[in-house]
Amino acid sequence: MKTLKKIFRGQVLSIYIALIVIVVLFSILSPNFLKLSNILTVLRQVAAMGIMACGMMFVMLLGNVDLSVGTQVSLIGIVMAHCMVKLEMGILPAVLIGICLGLVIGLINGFVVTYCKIPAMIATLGTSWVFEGISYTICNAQPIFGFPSGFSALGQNLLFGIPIPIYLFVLCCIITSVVFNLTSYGRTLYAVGSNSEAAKLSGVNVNFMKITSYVICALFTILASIVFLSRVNSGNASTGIGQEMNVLTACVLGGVCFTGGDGQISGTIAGVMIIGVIQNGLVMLGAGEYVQLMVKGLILIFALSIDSVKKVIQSRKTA
Amino acid sequence: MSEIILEIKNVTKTYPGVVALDHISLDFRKGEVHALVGENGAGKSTIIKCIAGAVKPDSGSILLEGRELAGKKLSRDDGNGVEVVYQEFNLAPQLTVYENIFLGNQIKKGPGGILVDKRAMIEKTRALFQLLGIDIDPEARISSLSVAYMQFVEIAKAISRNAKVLIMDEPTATLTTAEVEVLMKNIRRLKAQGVTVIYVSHRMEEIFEITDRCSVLRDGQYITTVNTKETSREALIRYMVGRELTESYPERKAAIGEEVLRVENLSGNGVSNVNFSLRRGEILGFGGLVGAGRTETAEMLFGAARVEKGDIYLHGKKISIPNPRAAVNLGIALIPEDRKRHGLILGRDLLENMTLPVYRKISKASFINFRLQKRLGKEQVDALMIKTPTMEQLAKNLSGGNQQKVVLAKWLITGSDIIIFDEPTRGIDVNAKQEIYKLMNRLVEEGKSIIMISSEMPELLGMSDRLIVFSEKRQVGQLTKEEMDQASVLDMASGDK
Repeated sequence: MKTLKKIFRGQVLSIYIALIVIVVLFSILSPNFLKLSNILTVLRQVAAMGIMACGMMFVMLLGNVDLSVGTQVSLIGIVMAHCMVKLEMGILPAVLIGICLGLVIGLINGFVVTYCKIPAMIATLGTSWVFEGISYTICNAQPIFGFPSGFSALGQNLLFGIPIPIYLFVLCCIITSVVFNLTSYGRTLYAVGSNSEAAKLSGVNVNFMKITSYVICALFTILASIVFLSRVNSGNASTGIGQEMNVLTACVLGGVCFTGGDGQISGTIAGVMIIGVIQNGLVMLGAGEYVQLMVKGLILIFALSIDSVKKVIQSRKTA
Repeated sequence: MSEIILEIKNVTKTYPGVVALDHISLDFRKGEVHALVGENGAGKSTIIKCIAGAVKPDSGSILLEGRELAGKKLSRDDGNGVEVVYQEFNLAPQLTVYENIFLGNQIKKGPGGILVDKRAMIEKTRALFQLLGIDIDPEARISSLSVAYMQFVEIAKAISRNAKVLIMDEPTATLTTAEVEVLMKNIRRLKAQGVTVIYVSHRMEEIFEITDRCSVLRDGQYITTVNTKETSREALIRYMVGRELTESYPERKAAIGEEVLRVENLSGNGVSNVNFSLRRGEILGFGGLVGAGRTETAEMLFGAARVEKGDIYLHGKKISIPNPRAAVNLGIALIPEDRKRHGLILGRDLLENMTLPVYRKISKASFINFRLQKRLGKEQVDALMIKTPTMEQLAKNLSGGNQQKVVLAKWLITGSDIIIFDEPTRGIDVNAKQEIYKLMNRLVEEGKSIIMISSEMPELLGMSDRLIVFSEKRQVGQLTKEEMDQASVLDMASGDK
């Protein structure tokens, strides 16, 4: 009972209620919405976003943000595709190169934010352009396809009737939750995010935390990028574009505080599901891509307002 | 007897679980300086907030010259005559002094008033400063001013809006003695002009120097109002705590042992040439005015600021302290002056606050041993008598004294044996102060060493075994227990010999 309360504390409960309301709404509006095949589609679609959201949380708990996760997905995907198709490498070497590239990307982001002292939002916006530019240069703005057989299995096959990416998403959630709640690294994340000055004066290596948070975020992005690549079965420089806003919205919606120090994986899962359900539901209703964009924008602003209003209420309570 | 300008009638305010104000009635006369005193949590801040309209009382009324104020937010335009100078200033640091004075209220010129009349505003500001006897360049940027001067700007701003009642919340907390003098002069000037000043302070000396009447609150209750001239410090304290309190310092039986820390020609962080040694079981006081270089020196010892020159020896071995982490590992701890910003993580719970530095030590394969964490925390909560319902209480919900104990607990768990206390009892009520003193005694009796920075002279003299006095970013002298007295410390701290 106590753990249940812990999981659903604060905003998290209301976000799950919102999720249920939205699901009910769409199932009334669209008869096909609750069909098994559609549910699997939604889950498959949210898996990669959810994996990225896990990574984003590490960065956001410190009060930072990584707006480059979208183009990271593109770049890592393009590089892996290039290795497999153009350089005719095997799956494993290509993935290894992707992982190495991801780690470098994480280090670059972490370095720019930590040592160049640029606000995370601007810094990662900058790096995201760099990554995008490199992706387009590598593939010459052409999609790369024709991967070795078997690569698409990861993204497209089912295991016990459930798409494999879902297992990966669940695994990421478990890992993230364990790190956040049980390890010294996770607890230190919360402390630094709440008051980095005090944490520093308690002997915490704040710069280390910042840099590693970006590296960890990139690790999750690598996985997401592999999932994307195998699902679409073609490398495309535009794959990840816009994903960062989905991920960010999902996190904020799930109660991850934009200024750091607060947020739980249970909330983020609900946030991810809401974004996935709305995207899918709007498609079912025949709304186009542009309507989706509008709706998502409104949701992001709405979610951020909740965050701010919550703070106002809290400060009134303590006043 | 002059007329009553502001009257508080039967005001009650409750927060969940607390009666912050319990049927308080008070009156303030025109042109008087009226002190509001009481321990922390007595209700002073709540009263101020009610008067300022930041908080709406549950019942009762607040009358300014017969007009009801209760529950109305103060806004710049209505100029209802009450202004508050808070501890945290409401100034725009990037703007100039005159722009701040006229913020939201600029003098305009040109067709339709689309241009600001810079010259008129500067002139008016200058005139205002002359009236108040303040010497600040109206065109200076706020960010270039010292805290004291920022406060003067705030006061001037209030006066420019025709304040009839000026509320000052702990105005001298961050001022040096010389600056306090100027403030006192300003307050007298305001008083001569018929402005009522409500003066909230912990500092008895100032209350007796400047105020006409003094109202005492205790636990949300109105106790009494006395004419300051007709009362004494002891009587006032008695009203505040409700019982006799000896202003003595607890005795200790610490054996002072070998040297643990020695600093030679330490320079950096704006301070130059600091030399001292610290012994086992000793409390070494750092005296001097605010900004004299005491905190700056402590920051170097804790690795929070860079050492430019000089050597630090720990147990005879030369060490370097590049960052706080290194200091913590060497057993040096800092209990910072601003515990809410630098000492605690307010939004996290007690246990997390206390064990943050040892997370790695109490983890196996980076998994925290929560049983051990809880036990360590519990030990300290018991040992330091931290009053909290649970270990999961958020740090921000604790009283000042208990917060300070949590910061101390953090370093005791870490196993630090040199503890730097920067203004250990700032903003802490009288009873909690005594507890902190007793804890400090216990620490040195256990063989730890303490450096105590304090701006409270009695505390400094009462607690220190030896004293180092700073003035203008330099160490100006050392005093042994026998040589210590108020006059010699003040003499050294004023510098310029």
